[in-house]
Amino acid sequence: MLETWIIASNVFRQLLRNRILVVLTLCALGMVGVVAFLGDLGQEAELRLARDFGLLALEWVGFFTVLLCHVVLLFEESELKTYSILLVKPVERWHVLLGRTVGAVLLMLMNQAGMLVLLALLAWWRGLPIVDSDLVVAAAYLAAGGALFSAVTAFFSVLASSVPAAAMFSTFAFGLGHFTTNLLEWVEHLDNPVLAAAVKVLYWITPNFSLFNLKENLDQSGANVFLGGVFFWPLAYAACYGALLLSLALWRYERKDF
Amino acid sequence: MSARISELPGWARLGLLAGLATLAVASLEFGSLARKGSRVFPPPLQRGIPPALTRFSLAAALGDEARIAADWGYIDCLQYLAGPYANDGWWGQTLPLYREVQWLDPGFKHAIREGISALGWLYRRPEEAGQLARIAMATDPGEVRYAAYIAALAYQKHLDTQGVIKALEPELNRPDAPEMLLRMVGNLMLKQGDDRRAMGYWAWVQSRAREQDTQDMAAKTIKDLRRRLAAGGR
Repeated sequence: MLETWIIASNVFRQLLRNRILVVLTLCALGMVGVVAFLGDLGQEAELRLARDFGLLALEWVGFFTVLLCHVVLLFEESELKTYSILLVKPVERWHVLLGRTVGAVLLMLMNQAGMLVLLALLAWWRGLPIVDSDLVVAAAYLAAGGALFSAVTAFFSVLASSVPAAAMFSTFAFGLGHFTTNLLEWVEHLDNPVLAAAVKVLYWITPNFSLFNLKENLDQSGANVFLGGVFFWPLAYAACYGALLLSLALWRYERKDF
Repeated sequence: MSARISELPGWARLGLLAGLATLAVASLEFGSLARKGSRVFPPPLQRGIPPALTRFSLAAALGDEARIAADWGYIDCLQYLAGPYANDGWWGQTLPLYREVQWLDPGFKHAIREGISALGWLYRRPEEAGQLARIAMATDPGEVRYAAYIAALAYQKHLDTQGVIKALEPELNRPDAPEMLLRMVGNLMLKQGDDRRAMGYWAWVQSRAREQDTQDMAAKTIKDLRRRLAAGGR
């Protein structure tokens, strides 16, 4: 595992050098500005709007961070042939794949933590309790979803034949992963067992990001929002589904010629 | 560790992948069950769908972002109320707009109470306000405050101003009562002609209002009332 960690930390450093962070920091700053503006528009509901749009901004910054990291790494690997230099070192391909996935997660965690600090500063400036324990927990689960998305993007970066294709497949999987739960509940109410079965298969196959969305439970005091399963199963899912995708990706990666 | 997945025997590789897939599906199913158990309201698509639902809201609800869509819809409502829509059936889209917010997130009680207040007393359409209040109460029977609005709307239909004020009194004393409601009740008191009582009420509103609009309105009304009282008002 030491090799994986060394690759992950090098990936993290390399991504910092690539100036991705500058662009993302500007985006994050802009998004926190938008949060402040939208909160203002909400008048008496300012607190609710600031928290909701703050979490949405966190989710989107996480998504773009992970996607950009993998796209840049894939571009360097395939176009600049950096992988050939790495292959002469005593490392296995799974070290590289896992290191790449973890490196992207590290950068995403740093960005999200930075955004939380910005939100806390915004809260202090406006005198509103925007950042509390509920919001931090919801943000942590968005980060867990982001880690799963890193595995999804690593999978597509191995499978896809080009950088744009990998980015497109990953984005599509991210979008679809937010829809399948509600789509399944909807078709289960329609009298069409064939359609329901087809959507059920799609629901199992595609990554499910709805599990990590605890935003809907904010402010719902009195409900069973603290059911242990709501917190445990998303993490178990991220571990199992992420491991499955990385195993499949590795199987293909080990047979790939560069 | 130098084991390679591509060098594993076929049965071992298949077993590993099948095991992980089974665990992933099981955790997805249990996670979804836990999520269903933690819900306060049924998912949007299992509630009565409003007739004027926009595609944006429908897509957001399907994409698990109903709460954000409700926030966005609420901003739309506020922009609409503040806009020049007298020719649009005297702000005729108010009910569909607030109904959409209520559908997206029945837990957004502040927006719903504000919608009922606007329809009932700002635009004087108690039928529409009652419709919104009844739908909100059916979706969220635990929220007893809607009952006060329904009672006040019943008085409003009979133009019984005193009854409206009495029915809304407990609601006005709550710290999160919509400021629009506070202003509406203040106007009803002015219409009653009891200037001393109205003066006391508006001074109380001024002391608790957070919005600048309400503060300005209270200051202006208090000034007018002082002038009227000095001229021998009741």
